[in-house]
Amino acid sequence: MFKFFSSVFIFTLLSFSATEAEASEAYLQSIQQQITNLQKTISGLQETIQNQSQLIDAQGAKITILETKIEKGVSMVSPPPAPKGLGLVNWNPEIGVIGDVVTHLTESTEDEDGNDSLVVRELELAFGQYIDPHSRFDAAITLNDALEDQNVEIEQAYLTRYDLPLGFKFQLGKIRPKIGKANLLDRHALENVTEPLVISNFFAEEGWKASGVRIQNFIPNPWDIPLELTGEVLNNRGAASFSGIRRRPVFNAHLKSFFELSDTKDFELGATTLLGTDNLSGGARGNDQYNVKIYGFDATYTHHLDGIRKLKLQSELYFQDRDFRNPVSLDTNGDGIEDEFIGSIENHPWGFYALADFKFSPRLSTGVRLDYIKPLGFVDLSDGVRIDASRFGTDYSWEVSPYLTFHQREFCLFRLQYSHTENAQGISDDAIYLQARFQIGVDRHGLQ
Amino acid sequence: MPLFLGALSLFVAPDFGLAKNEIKIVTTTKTFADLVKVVGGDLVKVDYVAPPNQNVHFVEPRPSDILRLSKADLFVHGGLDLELWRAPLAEASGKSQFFDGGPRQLDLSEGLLLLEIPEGPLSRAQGDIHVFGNPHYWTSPENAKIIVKTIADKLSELSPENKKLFEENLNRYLGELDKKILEWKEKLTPWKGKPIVVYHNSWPYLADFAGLEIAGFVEPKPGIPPTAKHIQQLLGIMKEKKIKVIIKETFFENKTPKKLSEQTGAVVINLPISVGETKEARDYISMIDSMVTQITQAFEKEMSHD
Repeated sequence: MFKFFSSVFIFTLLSFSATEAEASEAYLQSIQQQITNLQKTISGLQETIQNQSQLIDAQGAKITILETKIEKGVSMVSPPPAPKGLGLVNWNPEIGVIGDVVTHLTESTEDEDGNDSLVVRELELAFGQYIDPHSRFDAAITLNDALEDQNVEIEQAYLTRYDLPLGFKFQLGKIRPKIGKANLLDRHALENVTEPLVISNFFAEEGWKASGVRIQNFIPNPWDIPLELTGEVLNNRGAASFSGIRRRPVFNAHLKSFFELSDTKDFELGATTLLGTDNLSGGARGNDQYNVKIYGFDATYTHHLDGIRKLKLQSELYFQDRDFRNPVSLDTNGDGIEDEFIGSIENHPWGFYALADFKFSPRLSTGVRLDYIKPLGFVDLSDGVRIDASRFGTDYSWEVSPYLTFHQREFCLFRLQYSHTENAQGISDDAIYLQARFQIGVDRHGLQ
Repeated sequence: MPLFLGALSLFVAPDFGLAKNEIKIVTTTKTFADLVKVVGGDLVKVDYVAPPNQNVHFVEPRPSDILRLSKADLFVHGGLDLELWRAPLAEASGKSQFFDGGPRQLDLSEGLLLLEIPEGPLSRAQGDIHVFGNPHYWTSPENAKIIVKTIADKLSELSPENKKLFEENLNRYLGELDKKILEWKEKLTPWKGKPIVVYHNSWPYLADFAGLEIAGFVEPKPGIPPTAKHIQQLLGIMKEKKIKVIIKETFFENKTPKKLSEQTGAVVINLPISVGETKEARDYISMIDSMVTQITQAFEKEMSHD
């Protein structure tokens, strides 16, 4: 009996112990879970504290700067403080003055202006300022000190309108027409002392500048390469290839593409089409409306060899399709019959230049330009005046011009150039140019 | 005429395949591009204009830069007169919102303490004076902390829905910078107060951070090439002050610093002033790392010679 009760007691005791152990285990698990949760909370709080500390540090750095500023009494320049006491002077435009002095020594014995001379070839006064948040006005006036041609010229004066729909840019006024590369540059900004022959012969001695309107935009394309299309309607005044009736404008379309070959090499291709009128009179008259078409191509390769050295290869080619009746003859006795042949007009003048320019040190660059043209032939019979047939441009001209440029500063350079020319009249010339270009103030020509 | 009109009609062609969610940003330098990227992360697409190995003051933007800017949401630049080509580039884009003060441009000089703000009349007879103060402010990591905050504020303004992400990126980078600043200062402490010569006046912020004294310039005036007379004067200063370190950017000529080095025993170091200028300067932090390492090694070399 005792054994029986003892067994029951032990069994009961063990049963109780097992139940208690299970409860204890559950309790422990609950505690562990709570600890895990607390650890996560602490970890989150630590992260928050860390972030807050970083923010405090950043704010502290700002406070330190502000305190330093107060201590030192140094003013911050953001935005730049307006000059005190200047009042309306702040509204003055940006002003730049550029001088271009050229010495020219030539074999030619003719005592012409420009032969064996030293002149301020160009003094440019450039002004520009925003008119309102969406428009800007730029103007450049040039003064020329050449003995016979002293003059003042409005070189450029144009309004640029930004923020047009679809990303258009619009310009109105006197501009340098978007023809190739060289014509866009002021002559003081060229790599050479003189303009390429094809530019001076087809357009103007100093490059063509014309009143007109320009509209420009990038053409969207799947390759995301810059394809810039420019359309211009221009007054025909001032370009050698166009003349006559001013109400017949010149239309110009220019397409430019640009390829980044690598971080240091790029290549630009351009094409130009001009359509205009050369309104010759007398026996030269042919189709007198939009009888001149000019097609041009330009290519520029640039290679930045390092932070200083840069190679540029550039070429432009122009071809004209002119619609004039040949041969040119005159009615000498007034009987209505053109009885004297006086020559012929070149209906397909063309020309090109090729330029290699190498900047080989921070201050020095050198290069050479080769020019070749079959020039325009001129006939002007409006006064019944006969023109020497030798001027009808039946031959070609070429020129080679090596040069060395010393860039004293970004705002001052000196250039020595030698040019050998064989012109269409069979006359050769050797010339030496020494150019000095200097600038004060702002030169805000837009990017090409 | 039909050809002309046909060509003009191309102007209104639709835009192709542009990702709409990312913020397209053009910066003037690769350094700024790197700092924008650390804040913007994958939400931004960043292009830069100035090649790292060229003098940032005189860069010719390319047509591709104009196109990129014309399509960008934000133009980030150094402000002041750091980039003389900045305004023509913004104008060529045809969008006034990128002009100085416009709503889609960010001037990173905002809120910085600028050094060397000139006083009195200015002219180029003083060299290439920076009329608003020295603009090479990113060479101080302390300024970088303010720059990234400025970037985060602007990105949050442009994309408020991603503000939290920009702030997280900002805080993470500020943490990294703080750690590195402690490390850099520790390395530079032994050389505090040491005089140095620099080629161009690009380093006042770095010198301020490192506690170095700029005792002379290879250029007689900012941007003016060294003359024989000036070099003689500089040699006198270097010998008198026992200056043993010459700092220059990689794109300045080596001839004159080498000549100074030969006559004084000074060490010439080419420091990257822009991310990407040297292979070591892969990003902003590694650029400053490279600067600190080179400066430290130069002084250690000097010590070993002494």
